[in-house]
Amino acid sequence: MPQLLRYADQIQGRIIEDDPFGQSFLERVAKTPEKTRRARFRVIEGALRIAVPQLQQLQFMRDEATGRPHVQALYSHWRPNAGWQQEDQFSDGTSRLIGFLWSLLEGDSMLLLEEPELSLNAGIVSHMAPLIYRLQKSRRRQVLISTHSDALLTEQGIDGREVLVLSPTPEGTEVEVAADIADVRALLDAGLTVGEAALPKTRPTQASLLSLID
Amino acid sequence: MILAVEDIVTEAVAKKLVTTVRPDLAITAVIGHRGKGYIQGRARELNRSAASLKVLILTDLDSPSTCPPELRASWFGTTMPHALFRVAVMEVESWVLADRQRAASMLGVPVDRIPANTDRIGHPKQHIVNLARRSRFTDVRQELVPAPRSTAVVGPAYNPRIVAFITESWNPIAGAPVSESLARAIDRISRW
Repeated sequence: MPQLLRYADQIQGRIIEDDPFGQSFLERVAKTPEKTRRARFRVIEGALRIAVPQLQQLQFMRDEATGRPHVQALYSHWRPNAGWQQEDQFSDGTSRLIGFLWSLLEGDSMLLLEEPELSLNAGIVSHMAPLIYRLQKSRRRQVLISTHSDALLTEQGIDGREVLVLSPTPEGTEVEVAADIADVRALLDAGLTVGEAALPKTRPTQASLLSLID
Repeated sequence: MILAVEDIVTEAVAKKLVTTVRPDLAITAVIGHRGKGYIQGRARELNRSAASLKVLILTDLDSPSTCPPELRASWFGTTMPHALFRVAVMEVESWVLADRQRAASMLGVPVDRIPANTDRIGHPKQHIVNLARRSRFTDVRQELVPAPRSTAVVGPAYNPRIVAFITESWNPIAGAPVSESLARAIDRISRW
């Protein structure tokens, strides 16, 4: 969570076991052997240079006075040497993208990603599915993603058998494989993407009434 | 100028066409990315905006039952559109395949597996996937071909690989003799 990283000093928060909010992200980066860290940062920097306007370089460094680990990025700026920013100045999207890419590159066990689309432009999100596929391919690791994102799911390479549709019902949440739902299957077979065919199933039926409350 | 496209593959093709044939034109915006229906639904508005700026609309024909002039008539009516409207027969993938030499070496298949007239391929996207099945490169097979019994039409990294090929290697000029619809598009864009 970018906010917890940004306000780490003020919060001085307790870190929950397994660190689900990524509060100790910088320590994790710091503990990684330098060679591995450099290799991962090269990949992340390459991605950020494409996704984040003006970002040119990404570096890991330690504060000389306190020894605290930091991530810093160089943005092109009309004033020379004015463009270095640290993680507490990154936008939510930039922070999330760094965390997202690091998680994909780190380890080979199952990875759970909760709404990786948050804070990101739909133009970036629409490339996430093939990106995740390619980064996990060599490790053959399982990645489980929860999402509401049309942009993420409107990718024609996503197999309907890999997508689970969660529908809330009075008896609890129903989970179905998208390709096993008859009408969704018919749309998928006709060439629609999972986003077009299955996502409308998750839309709350009364959603149109929301704007009418007063 | 602005581009109106169906998806990222059409966008990559349109960009490469413009930068190759008319490097003097600067692309200032790309709209669409929501399939063919969206551009069709916005055809009138796009055409109206083409009165004051250059608009290139690129779409797939998709079905052999219509021809490009019929498609144009159904989208724009009887008047000739201001916008430059180009239709790939059947899909832009036929234009991609038309650069046979480079497409074959990217796909890792012998060049004679690509037809000499790519406008005649019924389903060019499917054709690329089928060629990729026999690729000598493991990466190409894994990325372009869907898993057995998959509901996906293409493999998990089809788009990035095809887009990278179009952007880095594909040469539309080399494809012109192989695809008539591509040759016409090049001709119209160069005289625009």
